[in-house]
Amino acid sequence: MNKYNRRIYLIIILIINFILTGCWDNNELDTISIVTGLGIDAAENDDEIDLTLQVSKIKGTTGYEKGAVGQGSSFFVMEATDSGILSGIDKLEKQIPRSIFLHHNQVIIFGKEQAKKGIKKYMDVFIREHQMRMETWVLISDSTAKDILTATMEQEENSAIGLSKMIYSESRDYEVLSTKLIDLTSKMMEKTTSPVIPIVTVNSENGNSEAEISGLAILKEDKYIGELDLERVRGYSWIMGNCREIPFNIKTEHGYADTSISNIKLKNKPKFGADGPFISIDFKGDVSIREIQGFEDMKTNEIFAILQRSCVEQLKKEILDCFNYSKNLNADIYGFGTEFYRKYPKNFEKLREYWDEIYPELDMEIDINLEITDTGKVLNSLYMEEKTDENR
Amino acid sequence: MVFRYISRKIVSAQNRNKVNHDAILENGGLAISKNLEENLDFIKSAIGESQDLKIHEFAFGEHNQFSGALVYIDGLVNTIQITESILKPIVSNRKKYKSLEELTISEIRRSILCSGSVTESNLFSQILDGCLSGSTVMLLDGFSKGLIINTEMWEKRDVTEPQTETVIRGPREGFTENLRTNTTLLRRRIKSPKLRMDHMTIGHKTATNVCIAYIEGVARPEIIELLRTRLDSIDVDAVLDSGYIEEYIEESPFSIFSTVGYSEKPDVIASKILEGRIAIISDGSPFVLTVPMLFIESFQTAEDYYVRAFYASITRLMRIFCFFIAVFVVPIFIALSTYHQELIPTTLLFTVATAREGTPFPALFEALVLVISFEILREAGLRLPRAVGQAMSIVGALIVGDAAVSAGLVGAPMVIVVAITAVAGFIIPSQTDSISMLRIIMMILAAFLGGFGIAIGFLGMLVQLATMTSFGVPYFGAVMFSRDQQDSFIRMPLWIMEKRPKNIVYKDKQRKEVIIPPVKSDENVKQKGQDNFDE
Amino acid sequence: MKIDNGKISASQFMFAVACFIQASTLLTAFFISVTKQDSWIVSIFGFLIGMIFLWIYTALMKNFPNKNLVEINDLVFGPVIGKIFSFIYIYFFLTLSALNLKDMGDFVGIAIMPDTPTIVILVSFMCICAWAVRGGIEIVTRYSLFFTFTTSFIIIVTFFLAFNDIDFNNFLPIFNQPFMKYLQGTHIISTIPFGEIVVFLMVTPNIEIPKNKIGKYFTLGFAIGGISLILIILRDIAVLGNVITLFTFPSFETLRMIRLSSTLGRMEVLFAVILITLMFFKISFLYYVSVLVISQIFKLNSHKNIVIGVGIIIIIYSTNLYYSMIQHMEHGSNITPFQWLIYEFLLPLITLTVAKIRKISSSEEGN
Repeated sequence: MNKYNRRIYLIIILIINFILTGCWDNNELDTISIVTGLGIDAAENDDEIDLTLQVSKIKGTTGYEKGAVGQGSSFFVMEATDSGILSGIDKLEKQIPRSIFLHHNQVIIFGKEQAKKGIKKYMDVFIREHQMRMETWVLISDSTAKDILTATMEQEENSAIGLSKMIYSESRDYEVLSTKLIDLTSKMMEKTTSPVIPIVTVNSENGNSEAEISGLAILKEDKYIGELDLERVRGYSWIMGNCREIPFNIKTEHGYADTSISNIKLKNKPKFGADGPFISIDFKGDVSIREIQGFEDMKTNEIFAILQRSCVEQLKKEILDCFNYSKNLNADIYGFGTEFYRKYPKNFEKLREYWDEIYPELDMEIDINLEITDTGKVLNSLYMEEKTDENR
Repeated sequence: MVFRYISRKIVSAQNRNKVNHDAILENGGLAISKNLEENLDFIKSAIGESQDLKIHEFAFGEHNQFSGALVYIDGLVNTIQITESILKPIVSNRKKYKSLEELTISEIRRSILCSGSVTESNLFSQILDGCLSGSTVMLLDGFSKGLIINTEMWEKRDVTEPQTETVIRGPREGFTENLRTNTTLLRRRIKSPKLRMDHMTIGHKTATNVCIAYIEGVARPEIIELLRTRLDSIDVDAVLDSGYIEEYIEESPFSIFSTVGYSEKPDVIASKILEGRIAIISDGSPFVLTVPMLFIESFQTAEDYYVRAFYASITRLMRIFCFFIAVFVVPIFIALSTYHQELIPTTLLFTVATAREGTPFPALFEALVLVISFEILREAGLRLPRAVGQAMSIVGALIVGDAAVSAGLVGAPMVIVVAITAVAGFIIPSQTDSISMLRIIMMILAAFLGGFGIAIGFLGMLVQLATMTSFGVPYFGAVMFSRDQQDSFIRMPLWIMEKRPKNIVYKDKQRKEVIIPPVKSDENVKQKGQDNFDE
Repeated sequence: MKIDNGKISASQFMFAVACFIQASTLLTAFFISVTKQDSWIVSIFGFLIGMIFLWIYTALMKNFPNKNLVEINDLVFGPVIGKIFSFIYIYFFLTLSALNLKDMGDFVGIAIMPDTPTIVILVSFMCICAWAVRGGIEIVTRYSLFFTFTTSFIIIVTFFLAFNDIDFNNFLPIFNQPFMKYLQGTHIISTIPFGEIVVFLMVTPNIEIPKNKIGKYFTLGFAIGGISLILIILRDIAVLGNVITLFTFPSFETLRMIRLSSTLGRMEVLFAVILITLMFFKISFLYYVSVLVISQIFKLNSHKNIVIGVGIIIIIYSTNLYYSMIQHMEHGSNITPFQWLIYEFLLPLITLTVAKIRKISSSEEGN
């Protein structure tokens, strides 16, 4: 045994170590089926769920026969009924020749029925399982999750991927219309907050089913109790902030104006007043006028004053409408409880247990400041052009 | 069994004693006798009846009473010079020498011969050496000494532009196979009297002239000493190229990285010598070796110093990046597509999966087939005549690659990835061999342990690089804070690099005294320009 | 008698310290689960407490500039008691290496390659470490600068990339937990990542720094490591919010959240890369130190002969340390800190005090 001999043996042992031991996790791409959407529906049995997986169908393109692609659907849907999600997946795995690969799951969809029963007990697997990612979108289907996963989309072959792209682009304007798994988990952990999850509906027109987002579902604890339609979603998103530019239509007695509000600066301060806690909201924003109809025979300044006033009024109305709706449901969708906790941690500890009783009584003070900053290409309008000139 | 045999061989080579191989002939140490005939017979028997051995006997003196002979090898000598400067003066000399006592060898050397380099010798070994390396030997009857007259001239290649390291900007001269030409090229660049060129001969059969060039005071004496001892201990019968020497003097013979640098360009070698390195020029090879060589030198090219610093730095960073592409992209692709599909963006995953569908082999096998067939193509392209080689690569790369994809044997993404790595590998010519090997090692690691395997391979590569030294200098020191950083990952402007590399240089560390930025738009200059303009 | 004649320069030493601490910053779950959103405050406290440890080590280094821990023990307590102390350190260093190796193995085993047996991962990793350790201190610390730079770069870049997901309200409320939790958290942080730099006492003779500058470089390296830790914890809390307490690898999940566009995301590979490289540094350093202590106590001529043996001990030790991740976490937050306090604080402090009282120092001998 000399130096070189030993070295050669060591190298052989290393090579054997790699070659004989490797490959446990080896999955060639043609041995996995990539799941793009996962749906959970209520089953007949209360303890069980109907699990739906949307699996994308990879069509081999040998060589350059690209023309073959695009014929037939590009995914298929598998269903199983089981008491747990992973055991359901195991069941499905036996039906197909490939192993199920969940890392690229785009959306998790709960059926409305299941949402009414509660989703908490099925959340654990999404947090625990390594294949699940915390940035996956969570959705609630208006009907069943299966309907959404079998629907087709105009420009996307795959409805789950299409939905995920839709939510992503939506979330850049209205952040409230997107819920990631992590947001949902975080809100559920906060206890006082009621999570909201976007609702998807399927429109079946001319035999072509199209999925679209139709509102926000409100969950109390983990159970579906109501929903915000798109009007109220706007009222909700004013307060949640994080929106870039929100189109906003105003109808006054003088005419109609289409505006948008941008540059929103929002401060919501939880406060303790004489008759208990209340929320004060300070809203600042820039209004830009996009279209005006009517307002004949009026001066620019007048129009602007009217517009500004009615903007504020309508904004207030929208905000309060949504707020009152949530109070009726007794669902703290805004996370005001958490705001109180963050600001007054000591005081809130006592309130936490009674939050359900406090929330319906919670007051909101709104202070809205809007400035008209942008009038588009023109300062005036077609109808008032001459008048204003004369009056000047 | 095989290993034991090999290791025994290695050990015996290690424990070898320095054998005296001086004897080209057993009697080489013999002294010359006074008898001319005897001497000539001896030479004839030593060299054999070679056709190119010429023995020219002549007589001279007043009455042609003296006789002598010129011995030389035809083709190695300049016959005109022999005639003009040896034969003519000696035969036409009309000075009266009465006897041998008046005429001495040194007298002939001093006053008769018109040749520059003449040495006296009384040993056959030296005479034969001289004769075989292009000198003419003059033997005179009655003298126990011979004259070795330097008359070397043989066919050689002109100084041409090197094939391997082409530059867009910068000198275009390249070394040739002739040692003297090469040393001249160096001398012409470094006119310092401190430039030393030490000669030695290696190889008992080829007796190749080898020259060590360095600047005294800049190169470290201990490295020179180390190199000398290593060169001295080379026990080999033939040195046909500097590559032979390289293998004998490198420190990590089992490493895939080479620890001896080489170049074909005199300006490169000159700059290395000026940095404190030592050049080894071997006769018969246009490639000059430099030691110590650091890993980062593979990424430096001659042109880095001839273009402006920004661009040079960017290209150098790109070269380093290409090294990583060349080594790691195929393994990463294998690891991603067989282990970590979760890391591929979803849309891309579908594309890759579509291409993967229907291809029969596992990813590693697919990649190995492509990489190996690429190596085959490269090798074939190199060996064939240039025109055929080009046609070859078109057939090989385009047609075969295309057909393999359309036949569904390999996936198109794999072809793309392998092609990119192949091209990237060419950017670093001096590491091409290590890159090909590393790539295959990493591919196997990636196939068996996925991304973790690549990490292991990468760390292993780092450790290997760290443990290596080149003539006592750490091979991969570029990851430390030192002033060598000025010329490693990026190249600082030349006027900032006022010191030579720290690890290599000996005493004369300063390239220049202070950092002097180039002339700013000086007021004086402006003023002058203005004056000229006014006039 | 010196076993390893390698020399490390000032900057290398500095970055080695930084790199050593950075390696621990990636596995933060065991104290985040204790102090939740206030972990960053706790890590600042821990950093400050760590400075006290640092001061003790620097004082020892200055007092015995050409002696390492084993030699100091022999010198201060005499050959018998000193040996006992050194034996205690063998245990400490071996446990530390095994723990870190286990952390690395757990991460790879859980997050990257769930089906591969951990022993394969550990063995192949330790092969590379053993290779580096055989090369000695120069090889082990060679890449500290490179690793520190890469890590710092990735930390800063991910901080900016994660900006979209950052919500600073996640830090609220501040200081709303029982005082004992803060104490516990500070204790954990100061002993587990910061106090572990006691291992650098083993390489004092190899450091080529003038005596009066050791403190400066030590502190600088310590600060780089500490700031990285604080930055990572800030980023993770800001991104993950209250969910952070659920995860075993919070940083890993944070990087999973980063999304540059609708398709380009999945940055967790960065975490895996820096974790493996930094763990390589830390484990090989601890491994080297263990080997050095053993060979020094048993007066071996070279440390190279026992490298593989010690490596096998570490592997087996690490596979038998804990049954599960939960037990590991539990120990990490409740038991280990108290144990570590002995090796990191008490023993060095006693050594320093005794040395000062007995007026022993090696620097005068040397001169």
